[in-house]
Amino acid sequence: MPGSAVMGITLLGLGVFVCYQGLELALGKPSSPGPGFVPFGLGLFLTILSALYLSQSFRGREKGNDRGDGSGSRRLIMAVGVICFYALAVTWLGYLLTTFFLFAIWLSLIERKDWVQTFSLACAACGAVYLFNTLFSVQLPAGLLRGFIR
Amino acid sequence: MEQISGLLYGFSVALTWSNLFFCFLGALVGTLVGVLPGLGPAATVALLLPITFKLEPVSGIIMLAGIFYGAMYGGSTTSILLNIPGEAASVVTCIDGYQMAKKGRAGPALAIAAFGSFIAGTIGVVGVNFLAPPLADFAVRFGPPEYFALTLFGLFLAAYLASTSLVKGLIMVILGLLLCMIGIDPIAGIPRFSFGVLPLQEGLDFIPLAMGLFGIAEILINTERAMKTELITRRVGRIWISLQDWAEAKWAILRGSVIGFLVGILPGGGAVIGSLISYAVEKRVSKNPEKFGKGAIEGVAGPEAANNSAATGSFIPLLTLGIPGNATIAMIFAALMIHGVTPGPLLITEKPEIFWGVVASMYIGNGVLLLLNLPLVGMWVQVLRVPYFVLAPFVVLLCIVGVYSTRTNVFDIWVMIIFGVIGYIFRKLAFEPGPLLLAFVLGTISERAFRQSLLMSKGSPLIFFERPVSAVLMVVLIILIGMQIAFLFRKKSQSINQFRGGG
Repeated sequence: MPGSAVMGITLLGLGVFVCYQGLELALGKPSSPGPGFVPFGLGLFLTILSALYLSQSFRGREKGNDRGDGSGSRRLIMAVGVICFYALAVTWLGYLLTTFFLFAIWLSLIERKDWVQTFSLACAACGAVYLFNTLFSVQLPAGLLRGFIR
Repeated sequence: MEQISGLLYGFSVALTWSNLFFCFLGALVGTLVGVLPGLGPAATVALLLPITFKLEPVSGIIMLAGIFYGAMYGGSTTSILLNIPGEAASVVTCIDGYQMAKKGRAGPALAIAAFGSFIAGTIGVVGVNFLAPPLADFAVRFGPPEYFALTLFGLFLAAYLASTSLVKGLIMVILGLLLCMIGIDPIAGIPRFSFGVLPLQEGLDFIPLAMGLFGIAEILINTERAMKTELITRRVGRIWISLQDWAEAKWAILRGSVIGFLVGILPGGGAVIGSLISYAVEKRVSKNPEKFGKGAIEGVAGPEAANNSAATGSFIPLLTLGIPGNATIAMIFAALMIHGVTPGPLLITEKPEIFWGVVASMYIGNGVLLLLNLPLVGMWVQVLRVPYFVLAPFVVLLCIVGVYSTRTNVFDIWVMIIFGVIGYIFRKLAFEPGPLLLAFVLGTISERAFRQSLLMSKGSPLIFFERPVSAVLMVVLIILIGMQIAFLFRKKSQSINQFRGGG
């Protein structure tokens, strides 16, 4: 099934779900519209438009942009993974260590750079984020390094 | 005259050392992102939004505005020298700009792009200067029906103009409106679409959404492609224009300035469409249309002028009506709201330092950009040597730190990641994220105006046709929709006839 068809079906399902939620929230009357009034209307429009999009997709008129090759998908999954790692680990490890690992993983595994380039850029990034945190008083979590840094 | 005295006051605000610095910084960063392919002005404004929280509102807006119009200047450099548009509005500059460079005329192409941008940018600011105050005076009388009609019209135009397909554009608008409904209903006070998740009851924040859709999605697309930067080997030569070049380009610059300004005022219009229309017009009015595509200087001058005046013109609906017309302006709208400043017809009277300060800074910014882009073009060419593998993780880091710093909440980082992946899928399937973001910003105004209008009229939708401004907008909207439906039917009947003829 082409990607556009999967998208169309997802949007269609979302449209129906929003309509249902709109009904649950109470539609009210036209003279005093309730909290579900506008969402219900939008859900209805989304359902109609998704059906149109889906029909275009099945007729082959909907084409996406370029399709990546296998190595592209691997790079993409690793990039998303390393960003998720940052979100998961930042509170526990602290911003400096997670920044270091973000750069180390990105440059060594995704970009396949040698360890000298990886290490020096990761250190530079840590310096930059430390400066940013100090200058703008951002209060990024210090994590394991609490007591050593702000 | 109100405009002149206002402008003089604006210069007194913009010419302070700190505001001059932020104007220069905005122009510099704007040129930089314009030059660098793979990072547009919308993504950059999203990235730098959190930094403006620490600044005075006027300084922050001066900097963000500088990034927006500065990117239009810088975008031409890579188009001309590398045949790679630095940002979307410079795509059309590639056609003749690169051909000029191949013929050894990179210098005149860069010079006419910079001069054209300067002239158009200045014409655009003069337009904002003189048109915005009367428009704001007029808009003071607007009530909920006018605001609903305006936002509806704006969102339809955004869907229509900013996307390759109207169906996709409208889907994006509806998704944006639905996303802004997450949280407490502004009238009934009931949580909607929060499913018991506490952070969702506060509603989605604009910054993680914008950074995800523009910043992270852009990085994911470029990482998948393993984007590489190419080293410049072409000689730029002397950056100046001859009298003959000037004679050939001057009317193209003026036409481009006017076209761009008018398109920029339209919601959903903006710099990309302005430059495309300008190129089409130049080709049509030219005595030698066969020159286009082979290095016609008018093909560089017109579109470059148009994208600059469009960028400036798009400030008019924001500053006078409080309605942003494109994604970058929507982010400047968000920045104003975060600072407690509501853009709209009362901005000129209630916060004159912001309105006139920003307008005056645009005059200064245009001069700064001319200086940055003409003598320093060699430096910008060197910037292109920064490898993308260095740039990408830094942008990711800036996104994460920027999102976290706004509310010191890891939940927002997750929201950004989710919308980054969604934004990536949208781009793969050619869904433009701009209308979604615009709808997210306008959704609250639009829904409130719609429900208040119905309360005022006791449920009669005729209220939107009883007041002149809303009636005109609604009628134009109905005509536009009717034209689209008629066009679709005609296309369908033509394809059926072709099929029968072929069979």
